[in-house]
Amino acid sequence: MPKTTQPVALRVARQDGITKAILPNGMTLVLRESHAAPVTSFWVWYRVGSRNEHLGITGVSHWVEHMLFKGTPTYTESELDRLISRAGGVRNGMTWVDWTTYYETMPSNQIDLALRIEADRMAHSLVDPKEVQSERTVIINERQGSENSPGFRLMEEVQAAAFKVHPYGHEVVGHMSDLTSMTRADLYSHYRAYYAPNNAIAAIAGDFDTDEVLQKLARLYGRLKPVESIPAVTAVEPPQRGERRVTVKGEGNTDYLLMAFHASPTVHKDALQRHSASRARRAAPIPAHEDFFPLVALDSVLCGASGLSFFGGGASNRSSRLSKALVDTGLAADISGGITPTIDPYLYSFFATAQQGKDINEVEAALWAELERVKEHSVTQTELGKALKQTRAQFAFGSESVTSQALWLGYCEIFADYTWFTSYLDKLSAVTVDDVKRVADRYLSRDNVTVGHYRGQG
Amino acid sequence: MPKTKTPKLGASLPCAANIAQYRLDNGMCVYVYENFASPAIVMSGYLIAGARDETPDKAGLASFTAECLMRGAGQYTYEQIFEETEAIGANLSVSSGMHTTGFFAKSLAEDMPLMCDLLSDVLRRPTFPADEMEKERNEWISGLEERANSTRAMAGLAFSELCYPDNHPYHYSSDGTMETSRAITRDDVLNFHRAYFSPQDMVVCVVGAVNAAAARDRVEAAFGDWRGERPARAAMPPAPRISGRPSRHIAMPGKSQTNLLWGYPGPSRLEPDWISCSLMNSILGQFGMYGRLGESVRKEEGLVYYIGSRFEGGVGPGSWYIYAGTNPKTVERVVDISVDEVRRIQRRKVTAQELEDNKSYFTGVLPLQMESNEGMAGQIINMVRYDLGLDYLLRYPDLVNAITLDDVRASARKWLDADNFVLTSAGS
Repeated sequence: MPKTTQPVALRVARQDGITKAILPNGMTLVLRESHAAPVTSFWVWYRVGSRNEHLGITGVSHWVEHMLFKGTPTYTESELDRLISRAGGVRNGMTWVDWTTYYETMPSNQIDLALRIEADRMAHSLVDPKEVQSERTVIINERQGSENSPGFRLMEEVQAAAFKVHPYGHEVVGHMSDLTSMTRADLYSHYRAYYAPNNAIAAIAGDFDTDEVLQKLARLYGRLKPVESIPAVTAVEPPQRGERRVTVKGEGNTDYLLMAFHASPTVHKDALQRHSASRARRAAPIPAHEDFFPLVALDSVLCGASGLSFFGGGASNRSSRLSKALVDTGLAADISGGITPTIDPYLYSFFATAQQGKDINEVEAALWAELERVKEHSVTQTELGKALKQTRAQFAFGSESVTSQALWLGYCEIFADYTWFTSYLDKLSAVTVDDVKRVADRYLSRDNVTVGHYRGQG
Repeated sequence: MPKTKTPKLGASLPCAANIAQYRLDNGMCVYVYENFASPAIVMSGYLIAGARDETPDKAGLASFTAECLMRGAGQYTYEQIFEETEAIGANLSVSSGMHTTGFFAKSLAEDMPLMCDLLSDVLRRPTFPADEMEKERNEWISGLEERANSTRAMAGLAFSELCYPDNHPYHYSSDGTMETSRAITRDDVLNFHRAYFSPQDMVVCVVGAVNAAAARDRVEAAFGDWRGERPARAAMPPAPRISGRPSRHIAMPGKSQTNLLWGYPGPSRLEPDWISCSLMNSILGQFGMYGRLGESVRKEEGLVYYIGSRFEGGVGPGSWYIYAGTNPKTVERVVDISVDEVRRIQRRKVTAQELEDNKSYFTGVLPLQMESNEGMAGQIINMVRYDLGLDYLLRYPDLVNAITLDDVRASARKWLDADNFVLTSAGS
């Protein structure tokens, strides 16, 4: 475990009740102190996910995440589990396209343990060959569990069709053939390449003293060695030039529809690159791409307000346009939509479950009719007002949980910076009816879509 | 706001001293816990109407009734109910389980009056429009079709059927079947609502940024003039012990993974050794990454992504079971190892370290479970529903710490059985 007696110099900025600091080794720290409950949540985020993979090692980021629970010379796997749990804490790890993250939410007087464990496993995970072998079947089981779900099978096909060049085209869990062939060397080199302070963000929210925790973080993480360079993702998805369609046949009597449009970037790529280059200095907030928040507003009107919790809990969407057009009319049992902030342009997608006896083509036609309507007439000011109020409520609900707060502070630093979250309501309230029409026209076109049909074969 | 260096658990826990409690003339119980940490409120609770009150040929009636409440109520149409709630970013839902029908409303504190009035209309004055009910029925049928394609759900249905005799309510799914979903009429729903929806012993819990007396007044204004009693319930029939190893496999070709369950009827939440059972179960199949089962089945042999053990508990004798998802070829191996683990926890005492670790987790995790208004409301409702007393959370650490190694083994011997159990699976 790293030890030092001298605090490391910090560059600190405080704003909106949030403190952000950059360690000399390039690690970003974001802290939000609040004392509503005696609970603290600590997250470490790494800028690595399925985006940083290629054929042959798809799923390696997720597998490495599993291996980080397998112990270090200081803590065995069982001790890691035991120490967190007996302290009354909960923890987990998650991998997605752009990131891998680990968190502990603990009674606040126990949070030091989380700080130590995360610093230790950033640098000293064993990735033991025997453990790699036993975890291989665990991960294959995880993938097979997902394969039981029609939604997973459909999404995997649609993603693959939507991205021809960019690694967003494969599932985070990876291809089965790669899961059976990947080696310990693949895992370990991936770990060494990406798990370093200059590729990491620590976010903490809850019941602690900011100055005290800053010093602790500086001591624990300040001595970790940065990597010289982080492999760049150079792939750029070329513009789509015409509709793509896939059909998946599978078990069950239910049909599903997935329509995915290439969406706008979350922020301008050059702004993000400039920010990354100047990470050691205080940098101005990264502005959102001008199309992103209009798409968020559009999605709220079409599919309802999305919950701001990663763990579900969003509101119902029965008064949304698409629910009225598809569910109320008896065509679909359910409709949802989503646009997610990412480093590179990702997808704006709609997912519908056909009602029994309804033709999936009919569901698709009704969905297109609504998209054409919004492209022609946009949304109303009243609808935008409703989207804003819904989001305001979601923020109030989200503020009850320090786990949710720390998640968002760290997550935003992956694709922009934390002010993206603190200014979220302002950005949404600036969206106009014309903005929504512009982005609907631009992105919801037939040449920009991948349509997937899942057809149950009984 | 004062800074807290060392969390003082007792100071922040809902207890008799800080939960305002009221009993209305009509038998409703109202509990309010003020929490001004965020500008939001949660209003949740239950009334005594559930699948226990339906007959097997109408399985799913209680659930269908609950779903149809939102299809039109009082002056509101279906569309208006959702427009009103979603326009303010609120949530309102009602759903029925085996014993009760639960409701949940969440909104900004400023919108509590509207939510209270809506909830009152939905529970008391549903209009059950025939056309809307047919839409709800179609969604129900679609849900049942999706259930039929879920290995987890199908293994669970088979488990309940083998675990409980056909004169027991737990034998049947509270979601009903394809047959009952088509057989239930609008009159069935009207009659069910008329007979079983009443304020008698109904519980409402409000947690959030609202003054307790104001919340009580609001609830009383919305529900105070509701009158009515529901018929008495017959005693729950016994759930005989399982003899032998009755088993069933649901063949679902094409599925990559098989889901399995094994177990039997277990203790109710009201059993005196509930905490000892819970500690034993945590050691066996929950603590850390799934307890001993996680160690032996996932970590050592890599046979599963998830495995665990669970006491359903509840008011009735809910089941105890081990659950896992695994490759079809390794089902037997997973069952064999987990049976061995049950034998081990019955034969030998758990270690002092294991018990201490689990006690520490049980008491330490309490603040995390009460971070949100929902979490606190859940704890209060739990104390009320199982008659634990409103100071239960204050007593809880002592109750947990009093459990001995002998208590844990006694619970394992009393409630677990490695030779006689129901085994069900679903997959290819």
